[in-house]
Amino acid sequence: MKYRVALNNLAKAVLVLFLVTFSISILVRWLPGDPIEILMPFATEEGRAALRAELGLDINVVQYYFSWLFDLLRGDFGVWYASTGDGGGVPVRSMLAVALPRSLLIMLYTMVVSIVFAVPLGIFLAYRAETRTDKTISNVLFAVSSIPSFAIGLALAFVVGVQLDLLPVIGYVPFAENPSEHFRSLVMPVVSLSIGLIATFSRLLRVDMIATLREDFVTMASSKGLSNMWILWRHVLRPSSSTLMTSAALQMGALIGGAVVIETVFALNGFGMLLTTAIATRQYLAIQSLVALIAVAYIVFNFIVDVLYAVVDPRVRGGRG
Amino acid sequence: MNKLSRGNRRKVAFVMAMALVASLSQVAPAAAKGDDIVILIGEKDSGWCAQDSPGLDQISAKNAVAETLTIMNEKGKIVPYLAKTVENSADFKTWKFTLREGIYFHDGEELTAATVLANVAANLGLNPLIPASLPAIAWQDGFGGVTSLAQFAAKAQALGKYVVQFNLPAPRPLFNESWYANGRPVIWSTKTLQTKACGTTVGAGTGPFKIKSKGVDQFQTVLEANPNYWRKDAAGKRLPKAATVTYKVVLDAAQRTNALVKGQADVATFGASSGPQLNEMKKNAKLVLFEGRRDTTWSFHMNTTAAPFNSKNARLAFSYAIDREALAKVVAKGNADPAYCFGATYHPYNLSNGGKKKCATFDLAKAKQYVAAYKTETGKNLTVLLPTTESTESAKANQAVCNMLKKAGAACSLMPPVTATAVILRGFALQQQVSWFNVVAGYSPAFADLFSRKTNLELSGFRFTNPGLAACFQTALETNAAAKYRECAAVLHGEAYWVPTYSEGGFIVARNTVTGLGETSLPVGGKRPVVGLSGFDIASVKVSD
Repeated sequence: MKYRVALNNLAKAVLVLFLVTFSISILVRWLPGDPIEILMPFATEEGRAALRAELGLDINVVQYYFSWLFDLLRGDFGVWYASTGDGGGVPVRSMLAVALPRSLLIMLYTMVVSIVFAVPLGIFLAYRAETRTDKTISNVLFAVSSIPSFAIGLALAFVVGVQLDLLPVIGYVPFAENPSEHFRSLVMPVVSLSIGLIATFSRLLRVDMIATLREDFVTMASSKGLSNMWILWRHVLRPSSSTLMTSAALQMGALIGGAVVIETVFALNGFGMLLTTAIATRQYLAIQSLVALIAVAYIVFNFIVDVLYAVVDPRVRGGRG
Repeated sequence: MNKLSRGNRRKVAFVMAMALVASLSQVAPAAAKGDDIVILIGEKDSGWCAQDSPGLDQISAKNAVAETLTIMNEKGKIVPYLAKTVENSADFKTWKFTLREGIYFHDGEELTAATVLANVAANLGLNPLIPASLPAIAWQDGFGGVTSLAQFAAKAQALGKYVVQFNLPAPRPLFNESWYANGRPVIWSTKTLQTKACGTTVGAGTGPFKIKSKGVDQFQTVLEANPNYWRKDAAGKRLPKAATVTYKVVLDAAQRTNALVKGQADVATFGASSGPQLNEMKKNAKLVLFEGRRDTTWSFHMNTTAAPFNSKNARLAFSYAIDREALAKVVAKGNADPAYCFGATYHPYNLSNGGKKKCATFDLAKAKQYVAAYKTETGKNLTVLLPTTESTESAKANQAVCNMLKKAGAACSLMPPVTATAVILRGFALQQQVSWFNVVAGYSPAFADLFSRKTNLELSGFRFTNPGLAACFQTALETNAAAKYRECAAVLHGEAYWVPTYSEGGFIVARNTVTGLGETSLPVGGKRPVVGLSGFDIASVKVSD
């Protein structure tokens, strides 16, 4: 039974991957502008024809797709074409080796920080629901969540980086190079991205917690004399966290390719900037491979959340959810 | 299994938290001192080989690695550089370049006439591995449209190991200037020209620095000192003075400013559009600002092959709608001048008669009149889509132009950077109505001529549908007669093919610990300008402790 479920999930994942990557194959062809004109503006007709063939633009989209897929399965993410065509570019894999770890770490740290702050805050707001404190903090969170992350980033860079001289304002330091500088280089990007998420997550958790607090088992626990803290953390949080987990999983996928503005502000050169540049320069193979990675990330994170649902909620584990 | 008690866990957590706080509260690191220079630029790396067309920031980095046969000095004059002498016949058809002896590329090859010929051939598109360069599109007709190495050999010969002679079918009075072309046609080693990776991840030039890492991270290029560099400083000491130079791409001008103020970088480049940041930095005693001559004119180039700017009414409406004084104030906050003509008064395209006449003017009533005339002509409202780059400055400047067009009754919106592809990364407008370019700069018409003479380039931003005008500029090029240039430029204005907006000089901002900016003398005398069209002379730059 368990194997059937696993196979079913795997089949769904493969189907999603196929649909996403095949759709991208079609969509990139609809982008305005001839990629050959952009990649090799002054090439001879022979040079253009050669690049057209290398990019698979001289074959139909289905052939092109399966050719790309075959390469991808062999670990070949394609080439970032230079204006000299094939042989002059940089393997996308090398560029990913620079950009992807940065984005994954930013995503990881952002999620950790967001959840560490959002969960206690959400519980507190649920516990104090409809009081003046709850209303004030909720309104502040609503206001904060509407501030774009880049605005927070620029403000932080000026105040914390320049005025207080506490943190570097640009650049990324790999962990292996200098752990302390690594964390320092990512504090402001992570805080910029986390503030909005903390607001969103805590509001989501607050709503679910309030609903759970009305359940009979909470009344039962309270009548047994359990402390409020114990009830909130041990009995109410777990069944109230499914919306939070779903939202977190979606945000994790989005953060990998979607933190481009923060990457730009803090000169981090992560996955988002790589993808944006790939789209701007019509790097067909790179776009396709990068989007496939994002799709994989979404699938993996959602799979993790599916597993976590079962961990936090026994009803899901027992098939009664 | 041993487990920490709750109390111990708290202690461990406390110690870890304190360690984290301690690490975060350290003072941010200062810029690398002494031998290592960090330069912040605002343009991504998109290739340095002949066929690539980087903008000024990347050219600055490229020129630290590879050099040109001729170069511009601080007085705006083109002088020999890798070439020891440049001689020409009276009719400007025969040009002889005698190279300096004893110059070696980073890969050990000596600079010889054969290397120069290989580079010229590559620029002309005769190297099967490398497409033709942008300047060569203009030179090809100078060479009579050579399409094979055999034809090329008839017009370009080595007269000995260090002498190259070009025999051109038509006069080219500015041929020596073509070999500067704002730092573009650099001389690479023969091996570099034999790899498709030329200028992407590899490139051996003769410059003061050689490539350590480039291309894989498009936002960072690291160079290291060339121990065999051919130039020496005034005291005869070896150059370059620094051991490494790191060019970091920081697209946001506010963050370039912050990093510079904090000491995370030593030097940064800015355009006048970073007006608020520049004004702030002028007040900072730790920073030194260098401004170039305000002779680079930013002009809108109209795509005359497609709507709406295939209509003269649309072009004139656009030109009259732009309040150049307000634009210069909004965009540059006093760091640029409104431009009514092309180039400074000393540029051959300038029609201002010594600054007395305004070639283009702001006239809202006339702009409205031409917007209405466009509607009558086409039955459509004038709708303009302005391409932007990724910087906030670009969005701000284009928004200001949009607002002016809206006041004149036209519709206007901004094309986001990802869509405005070519402007960002290739420098060309492929499918756009209009592009903002700065090809009229300095003293010489040589670079602007690349764009003003062509009617058939697949580069819509420069595409004219006026063969007569192209012929006019062609004659001007062959005679180098100021009167002829003015005659042609008058048509550019009259037809509003190009619309001038503001003029700037560009800025280099350095921390006051940086020494040697622009200090090294050129071999023929004079120096490179600190803020020039091909970047500053990096050879003598050093950071004091």
